[in-house]
Amino acid sequence: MFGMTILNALASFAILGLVVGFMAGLFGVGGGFLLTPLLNILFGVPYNVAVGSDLAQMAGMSTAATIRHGRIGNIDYRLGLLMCAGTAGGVEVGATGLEVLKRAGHVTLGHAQIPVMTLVMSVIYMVLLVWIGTVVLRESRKALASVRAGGSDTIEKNWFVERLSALHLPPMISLPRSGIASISLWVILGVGFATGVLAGLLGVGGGFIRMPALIYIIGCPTAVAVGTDLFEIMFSSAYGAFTHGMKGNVNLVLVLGLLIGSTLGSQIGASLTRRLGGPRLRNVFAYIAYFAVLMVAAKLVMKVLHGGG
Amino acid sequence: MPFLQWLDAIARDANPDKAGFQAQGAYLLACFLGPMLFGAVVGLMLTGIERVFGIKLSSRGH
Repeated sequence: MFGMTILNALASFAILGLVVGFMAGLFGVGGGFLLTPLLNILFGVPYNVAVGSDLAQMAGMSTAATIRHGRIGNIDYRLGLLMCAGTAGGVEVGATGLEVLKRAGHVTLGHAQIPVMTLVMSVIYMVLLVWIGTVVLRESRKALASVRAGGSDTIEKNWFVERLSALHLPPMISLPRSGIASISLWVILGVGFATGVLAGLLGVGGGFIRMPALIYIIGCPTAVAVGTDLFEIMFSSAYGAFTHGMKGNVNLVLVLGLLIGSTLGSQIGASLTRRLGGPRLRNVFAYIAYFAVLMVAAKLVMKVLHGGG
Repeated sequence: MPFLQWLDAIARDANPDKAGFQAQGAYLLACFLGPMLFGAVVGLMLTGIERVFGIKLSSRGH
């Protein structure tokens, strides 16, 4: 399996799961956007299998977290289920897009034949990681400056988010658990659909997009946004694992290894989060995203120079 | 490790790249129900530990 015995593969994936789970627990994000490219870079797992297996791993991790958040009443089940409807459509679009890329053949770069899927996914990941790193870096520097000046550690809304959250497109619904009197159903479905496309195509849970969307566009309290996000990820990633499974994209030994490692790693990371400051942690997180960009770029350049899929 | 070999075997029931590939039922169930069951067991264990030791969950972490 990927050039290893089953036991060695299980141990290797568990170690990777431990590292990514640790970072996910530490920074309060899912870690899917790091895990998928790292599986490709370190073990040569094709992107379609990395995405499918990553989604299956996320289904397990989010189930564990949902049970814990459900116990303390942090989940708006109505909002979560409505978002699931939008997400399911988005996951299907994303997974189908990945299948199209998988069957798109090869492209010649220099003297090397590179699969179209590898090239496109590498470029998308590089853009996504640069964007995430830059947004987090700018926000954490602002928050650090604000904390130093005696203010609070908060993130500002931009004009797009303000216009979207104020949209009055019927049907309007209320979400009492989140304290929301009226919001357009289309905003909820749209947020679900957009994050579903990202999940199906890239294997990312959307913690860095859906979480801010729940707080700033839909207007959820932060604690409810965390719990509802996890509840929604549980369904969307399980659906993603199923639909990728239909296409043969889930490696079960890889999933088991990742689950074992990430379960342990996320607990260690989450316990450390309470001891370290938020903005400073997000600063470190931004540099990790930039480092991942360099790794994806280096792998792509090596493929172009030395050939291979 | 028979369990690992079984996991590996049900994932290799056919070549996914071949036209007309259809995943087996056991494989599909294992794809989404397996991780969710694993997560449910871990979640219940952690909830039990939190109750026993009186640990309060952070609003940020997973």
